[in-house]
Amino acid sequence: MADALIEIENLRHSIGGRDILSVPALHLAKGQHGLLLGPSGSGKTTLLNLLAGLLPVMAGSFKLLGQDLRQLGPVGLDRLRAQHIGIVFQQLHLIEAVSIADNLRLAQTLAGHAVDEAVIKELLVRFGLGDRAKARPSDLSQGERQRVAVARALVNRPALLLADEPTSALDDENCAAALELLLQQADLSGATLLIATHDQRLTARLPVALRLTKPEGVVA
Amino acid sequence: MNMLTLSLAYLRQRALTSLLNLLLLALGVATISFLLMLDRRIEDRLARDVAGFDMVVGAKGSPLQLVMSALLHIDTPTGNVPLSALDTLRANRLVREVVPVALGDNYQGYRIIGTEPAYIDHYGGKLAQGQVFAQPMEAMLGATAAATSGLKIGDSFAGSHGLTAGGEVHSFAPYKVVGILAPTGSVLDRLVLTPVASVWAVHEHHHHHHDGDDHDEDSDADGDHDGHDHGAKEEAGHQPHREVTALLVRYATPLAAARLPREINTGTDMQAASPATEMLRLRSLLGIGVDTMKLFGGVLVLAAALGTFIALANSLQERRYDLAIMRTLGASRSRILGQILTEALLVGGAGALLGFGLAHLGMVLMGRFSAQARDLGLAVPSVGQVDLWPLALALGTALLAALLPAIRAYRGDVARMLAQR
Repeated sequence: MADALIEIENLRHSIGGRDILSVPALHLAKGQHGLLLGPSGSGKTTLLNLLAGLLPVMAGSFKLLGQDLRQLGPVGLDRLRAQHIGIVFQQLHLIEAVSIADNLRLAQTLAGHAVDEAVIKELLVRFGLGDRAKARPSDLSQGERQRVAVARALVNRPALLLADEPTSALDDENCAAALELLLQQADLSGATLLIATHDQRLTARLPVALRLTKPEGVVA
Repeated sequence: MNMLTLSLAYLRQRALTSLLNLLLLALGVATISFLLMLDRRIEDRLARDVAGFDMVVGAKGSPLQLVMSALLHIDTPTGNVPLSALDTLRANRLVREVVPVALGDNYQGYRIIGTEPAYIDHYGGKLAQGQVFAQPMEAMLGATAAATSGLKIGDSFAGSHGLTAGGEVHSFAPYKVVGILAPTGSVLDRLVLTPVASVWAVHEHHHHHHDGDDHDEDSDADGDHDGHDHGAKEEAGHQPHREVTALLVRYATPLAAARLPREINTGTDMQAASPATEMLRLRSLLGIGVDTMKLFGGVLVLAAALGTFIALANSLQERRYDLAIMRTLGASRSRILGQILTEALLVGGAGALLGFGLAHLGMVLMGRFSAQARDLGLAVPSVGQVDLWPLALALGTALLAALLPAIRAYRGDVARMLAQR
């Protein structure tokens, strides 16, 4: 598959001998956005963690950017994640001890890149946070915090932007705004956006890349 | 944003806890460092000041007191011995050298010692200015005594009665400064040196001066222990019966050690004390206290280690999501481990340096405000003399305390951690 970003075949993941995720196939091309849709307990977050290299692949075929994740060790997975993947969490998880600019600098440093002040400045301006660079996350509104989280996920220009339930706690207006922010910024950065959610409202705006169901025996 | 700046940011975020933890560590290091410096300085001082003399002969009493008063110039003398003992000892073929010392007065707290130039040579004293005393009432000043008193060559000064400042001033018998010694790092630096005859002269003047006042000084001069025995006793008709406070003896042969002290202790009214033996006794007496304090310092460092452990463990518990996020941002496990250990090293290093500084400050303050410390010649040691192992101990302690939380973070399952939120 030309320009394939994600290639998954017969992926299974289990805990304590019990399957908690089963994905017969998932293919996503570069620049193609989509949803991982499913109820709680269907394995969405587990799949996100597998995509981010935070969990080892147990069974099946799993390629990201042409690299077989089963062949990569912990260091290789760390490197892949640092260089090609950005993640936005539902709780945002900003580092509260440092400024929002430092959150972005930290993301660059941890990914093994030199701090690029021009990129950071450009991103903050793009996200409407140009004058808040030195503010601590605790000084920001929830909307501003979410923008910082997205900016941090994009600061290393990832090929894949993963978002975990970014809208589940938001009202319709804020849900639409958050989704637009993600789509717009992913497009501007040239990243593929994959959102794991159970929020049906998003299906009106994005195609479902994979619909997950709860494996037998799993209680949400 | 490197590990150091991020660690500093986290430490600032919990500033009070970090500061208290740092202080606890600093107190432990300060206690141990201070005691080590004190112990070493005392040991050096004792070793340097008693070196070379094999025996001290003085009035009967405590041998330790005799050695401390005659060699270290700390304690009060046990009394006087007749000047004739000097000649007797010098005539003994087992003796290589005898140096007399006569104590009694002081100038601004610096003891005035009646002695011979051989005493100065013994401590390696070199003239910085002027010349060696030759006549009674000529005086030479040790480097510290000269610097502190501000006396210069040609100046006159009067001694005060007794061995500590504040006694009656002998203005009727002034000394003249003829020489100033270069620093030696020994007891010499804190002494005023003059011929033995000066001490006798002051004493004779003193008695004549007080005879008219019906003041009887014999109770002082008669081998008393009040620290201002002038080493000369007048008999009927003012014919002085010359005395000195102690005789410092170097043996001509090792055989002397077996015979001379016994002969003096059993056959005369004097006592012979071995400086080496008495210093060992002093060290063992001091050692108990120093060891106890070192143990106390160790307990403080241990408490600091526990404090660091608890602070880091709590901090990491609070920050486990931060650490998980750092992993999602690409941080390797070793980077997380390094981040935590860097924080511990910052606290440990700062605590160690602060403790070290406090210990030095303590030494300086003690030297400035304690007369006893000045007597001991205590000062801040040079870098070459500093014990560095308390610093290593503090750093090691902080690292050890951080290790368990760091390993927990290192092994932490990021996916599970994030799922718990």
